[in-house]
Amino acid sequence: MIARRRSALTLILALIGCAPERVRQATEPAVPALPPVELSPAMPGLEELAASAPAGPGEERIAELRDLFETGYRAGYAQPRSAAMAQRAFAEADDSVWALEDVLVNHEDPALRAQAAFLLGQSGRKAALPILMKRVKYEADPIAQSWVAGALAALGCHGALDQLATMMGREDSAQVAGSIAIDVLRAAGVELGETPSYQELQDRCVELFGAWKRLGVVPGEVQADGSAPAAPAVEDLDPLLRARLAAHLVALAHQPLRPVDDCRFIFQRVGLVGLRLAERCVRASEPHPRNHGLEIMLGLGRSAAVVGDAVLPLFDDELTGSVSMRVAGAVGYAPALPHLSARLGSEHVEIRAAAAAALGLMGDPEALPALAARLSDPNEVVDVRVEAAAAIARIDVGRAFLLERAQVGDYHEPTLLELLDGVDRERAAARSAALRGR
Amino acid sequence: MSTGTRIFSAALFVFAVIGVGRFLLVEPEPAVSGERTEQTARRFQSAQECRACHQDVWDEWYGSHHQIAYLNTEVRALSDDFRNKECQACHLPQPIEVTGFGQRTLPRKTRPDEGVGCIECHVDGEGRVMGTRDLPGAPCAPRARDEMADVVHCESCHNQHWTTDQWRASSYPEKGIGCNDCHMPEVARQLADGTTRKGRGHGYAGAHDTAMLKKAGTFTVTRDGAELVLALENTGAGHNFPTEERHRVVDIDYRFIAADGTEGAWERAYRFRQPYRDEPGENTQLPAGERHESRVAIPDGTARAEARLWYRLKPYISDDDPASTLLEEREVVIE
Repeated sequence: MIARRRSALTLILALIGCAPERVRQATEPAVPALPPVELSPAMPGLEELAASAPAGPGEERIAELRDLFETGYRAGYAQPRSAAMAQRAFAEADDSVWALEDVLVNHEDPALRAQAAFLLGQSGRKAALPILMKRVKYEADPIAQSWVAGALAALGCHGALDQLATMMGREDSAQVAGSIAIDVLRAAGVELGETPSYQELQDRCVELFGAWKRLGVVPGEVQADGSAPAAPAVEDLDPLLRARLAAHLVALAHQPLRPVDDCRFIFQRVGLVGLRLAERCVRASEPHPRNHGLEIMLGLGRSAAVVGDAVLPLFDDELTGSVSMRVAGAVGYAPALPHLSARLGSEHVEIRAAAAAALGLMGDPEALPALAARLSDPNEVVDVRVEAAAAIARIDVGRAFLLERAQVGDYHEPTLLELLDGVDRERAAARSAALRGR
Repeated sequence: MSTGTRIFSAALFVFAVIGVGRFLLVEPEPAVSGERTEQTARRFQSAQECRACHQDVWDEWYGSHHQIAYLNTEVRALSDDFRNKECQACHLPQPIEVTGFGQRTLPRKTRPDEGVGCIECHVDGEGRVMGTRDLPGAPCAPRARDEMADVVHCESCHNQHWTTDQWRASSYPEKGIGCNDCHMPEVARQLADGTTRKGRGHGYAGAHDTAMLKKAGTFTVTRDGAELVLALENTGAGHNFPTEERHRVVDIDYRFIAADGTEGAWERAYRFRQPYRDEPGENTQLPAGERHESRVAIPDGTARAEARLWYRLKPYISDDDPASTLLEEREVVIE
């Protein structure tokens, strides 16, 4: 009997030893295979779209309209009656929006730029979104900046409400920014008291901006289940808007730094309207547009969830693998979880660090042991340990539990709030102490 | 037990021993491809790994503007604390070889304190070390790449502001003078056996090095009748002077001192600079080998004139700002 058992054991060991390599590998933890990488040149198509912009009225006509606008709106420039007539003529011109865009970008008088921004907001011209958003980046006058943020909101884009909140904090623009904010917030369905404080307005604007960053749409467009609607298809975009957005993406293939940065700025704030176009860059065979496309998605975060399928195959891409993983985390692409966990053991520091960061962004508590192992390994490089520590802090199961109790309402609320405040205070204090210690 | 069964059991036992042995002692496989030896299978990922053998190079590099490329407060201010993300591709790049020598780099997100370090210039996409010579016996077994000593190596980052284009347009390529000849001068490297070999300095002296700046131009101030002639010739830089970013400035300033000792105010004779994109004006940087002359009328009663050549890291700063460097000072006696 014993001899038979011994023979059976010997047979098993012999079979294991002589089994083909792939059979033995199957006994080890499986590393999921990535979908195949399918990249194709994006620039030719984007260049074509950029070149397809409907023609404007021409420089001469724009100059004429610009004169009319100045006559109508420049303080002390014309007699009140002449100014009123000019305003009316300007408003009745079918092509006056082109002049508004010109004034917004080029006019030296900030008051006129502010007026142009306001009128563009009222025009309903979605094609002005990239121009207004770029102005957010460059406008130095706080009042004009406030009107630009307001115009964007009027066109259904809350991507500059953080700026509006900032302008409320400045003495020279607080009043204007505050009154714009009241209109924006009420239009978004936010309930305000009779005389809201600047602090309240700022807080609500920052909240709306946060919601915009998460969803890429204004509250009125959020679906019943709280999710964002599908991003509009490229073909469904207004042709001029599409051409203007595409023109910014074309810059990603070229050298000049500022247009590249402009593009990233615009696409990270303009919401779902630019998502499908920017996604083309994620699938681009050209490495720099691909990298920038991914960085745009990283900035968009959860509102770019649809690109998850496009980034997963890139995890092993030598050029953009690490940023792809970070994007998967930022957009919350759950199918990436096993791939990210597997890459915590990569030989490449950049990949391990990206995997840790992405797992933190995903917020999956199951990743905690693996992250803790990276953090506590004294032989691990500090970049990875720092990312692992930050990821653990993000996943933050304890804080989430307190928040959940507060939401469900099954525990003494003041106690919960006190505990949450304490956690946040401790973190802030720890951060300050660490910085002071340096 | 029959003979046949015994033979079968013995054979089974041998297979089992082989099998367990194979299972327990799995031989290491080549990490990437067959051409990698055990020595080169290591993926180099941090400048710290190079330090043990190359402490002298580390000492030159540490504190250089390559090392502080991402930490530099000057860059952080100008890039809006790297919110201008495009700057990061060169100030915290992936290894240059990954995107290709001469091609734009891609940014990384680790090792911020290493900026542009050993890995970025000396390591290829697979983590293997590159050098100017094959040294298979060295612990890091560098493999020779022609690009290592070529301008194209610097071009990935230093043509973002057209510096290598300026070099190509000059007579320096014909003369066979490249980036390394000025910015990585030859040094003697002490080897472990006490002998020395030729190496290259890794301090990258440039716009923050006064001696280097002084070598770039020849500044002359002379009197020509009723005029003061202030001239600068780019005699030492193989690219425009100043080069790189648009905020870099070279100024020629002058003043007159009257016979009674009254000192006139400092005036600007000329500014060499490429303006910001949204500023009016043309690029007045001084190309390699070219000379620029400014003439100023000498007021009556002038006893002498003073002139100064300044290099400024930012355009709108005063003379006493630490970012202003006085390169040359001249005095011309008029009466």
